[in-house]
Amino acid sequence: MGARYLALFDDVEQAVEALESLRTAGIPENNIAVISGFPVAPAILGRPKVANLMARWALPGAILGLGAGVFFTLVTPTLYPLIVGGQPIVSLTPAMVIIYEFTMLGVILATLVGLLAQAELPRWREVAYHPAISHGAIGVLFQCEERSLGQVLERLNNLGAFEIIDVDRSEP
Amino acid sequence: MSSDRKHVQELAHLEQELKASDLLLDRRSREEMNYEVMHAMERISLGWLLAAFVLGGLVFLGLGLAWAYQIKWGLGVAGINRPVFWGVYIANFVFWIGISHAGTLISAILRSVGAEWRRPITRAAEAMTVFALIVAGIYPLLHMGRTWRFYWMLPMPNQRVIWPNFRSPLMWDMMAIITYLTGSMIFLYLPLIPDLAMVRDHSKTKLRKRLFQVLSLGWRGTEPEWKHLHVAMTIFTFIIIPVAASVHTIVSWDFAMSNVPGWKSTIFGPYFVVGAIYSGVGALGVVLVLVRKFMGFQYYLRDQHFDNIGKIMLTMTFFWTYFWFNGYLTEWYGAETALDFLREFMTYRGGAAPLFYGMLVTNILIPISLLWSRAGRTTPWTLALAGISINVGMYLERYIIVPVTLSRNRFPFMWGHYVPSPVEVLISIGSLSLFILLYVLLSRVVPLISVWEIQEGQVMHVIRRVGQTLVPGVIHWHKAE
Repeated sequence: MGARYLALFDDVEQAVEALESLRTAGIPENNIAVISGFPVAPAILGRPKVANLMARWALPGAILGLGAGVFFTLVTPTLYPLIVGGQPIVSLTPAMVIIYEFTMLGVILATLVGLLAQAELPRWREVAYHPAISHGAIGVLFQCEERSLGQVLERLNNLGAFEIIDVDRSEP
Repeated sequence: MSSDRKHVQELAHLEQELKASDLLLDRRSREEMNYEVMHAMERISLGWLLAAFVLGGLVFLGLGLAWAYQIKWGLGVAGINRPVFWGVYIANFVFWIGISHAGTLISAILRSVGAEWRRPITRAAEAMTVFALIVAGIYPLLHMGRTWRFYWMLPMPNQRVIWPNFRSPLMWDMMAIITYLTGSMIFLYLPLIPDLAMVRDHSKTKLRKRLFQVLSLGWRGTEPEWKHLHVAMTIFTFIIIPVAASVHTIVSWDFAMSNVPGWKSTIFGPYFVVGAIYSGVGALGVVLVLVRKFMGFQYYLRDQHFDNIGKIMLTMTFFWTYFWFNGYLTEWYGAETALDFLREFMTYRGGAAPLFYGMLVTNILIPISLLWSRAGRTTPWTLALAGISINVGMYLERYIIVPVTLSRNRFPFMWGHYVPSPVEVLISIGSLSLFILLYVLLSRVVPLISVWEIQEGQVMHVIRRVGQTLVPGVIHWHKAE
């Protein structure tokens, strides 16, 4: 386990070169992360794709919502039967409206939960960050062994890093 | 001057023109945009305080005092009486549900088709939806009279041995509004998170830093965060469109499922949806003009945005006219006696004729006159005037559909006359003030412009030289796989 560093660059091209340099220095891909103030596609950075399982959250949400809709419209009225004018207390056609709304609500809530779970939000205490990132800087976060650290930092400086932060020693 | 030098000068001039015409080509540093948006957010001027104070007073008068008066003395203080049991409360409810439609729906449609110009307007639009829904949600409570019995609508085991009737359009309404409000709030919040993080990073006071730390959920902008946000927004975009359409369709079914002449119509569903989008786009135009004027967002909201919003307004004018005429012609041709009574009341010298003709003038004539030319669409005050006219027209339309239609029915001896009472008028003013007040307050709490989306757009848009001229181009680098 080495120390974690966050190198900040002004633009994407510099960050791409820095990533290449880190790979050349033998730092594995899973010890590198890119932090940016706007989305940058992994292909541009030469980074592996981020797996996304949002559909696996949305679909059960839809099924749960549908189940809740069926339960409320077709099951619960029989628990409190109030027959007026000989009308049926359970009817599928009008029930479809509520079932539809419940299904959509299920997808909406499940997608939100899925986003928070997959993106690991909320995350209150994380020091590997710098406010310059929301001003447009690209942060390259990496973990590096002590023996090759000097060489790596020098390369990153040469590639245009305007600041390199020792994450574990910086103030949160 | 050599021809080469002249050509270089022409190209430089062309480049300036291209930049002026398109926000996404006119690149600024993120830092500069952040400070500009934050400065507008943090500026508490005397005018702002005065506006907030006056609006707060009107809200207190309408939704505080007038509502309390109605609760104390009962629904009899409203102007409704047999046969007009639905008055301005329901007309206002339909109106505000309509206003809510342009925000999230337009934003979702523009996102789904990848309309790049949408970037600076989506947040203002989405906020409009949330606030309009909050205001709309108050009206069923007002109309209930015994507001405190609201919980009877909720399905929960009880000693009364009664249960909500899920076959009733009123229950459908409640479910649809809850779903739409939930979806719209999340749809507003998700793309706001990166900008809340920006405010957290650059706020000067500890309190604000802490507040925005919580609101931004500790967002940093890592690759997984962006990826999951993007996918979630895509899902929301495609979910919110049918939900929005369902909401106003269900509102129309509140009327169309009855046997009241003038309400029982199969075209009511799509007619209401079109009307909702129409009034919502009108309101969006007005909001954008005001945001630009009072927040100083001339750089972000330009001719291109007003032109496009104006085009949507104009298109919706034709759509609404077509749907209205379709419904009117069919009923007129049918010549049903009860509908003839209603038409006589609305046209020629009938008591409701000023409302009917006023609706046609403000909904068709004025918007077309103002928006047919580019000059009209790109002049902010003209666009705002068209938006106001559309909303006056759409309010008249809702007023005609609700109390005017109810006042004429199959039996002339059962006809009635409805005039809104002072309590109803005060409550209506209070709810309008609440909508504006929420917007005024929001403008000082969150960035009304999505800065990260603009930066993303500006990175993607370039001016390229092709042959002897310069052309704008888009690099879809967010789609790179």
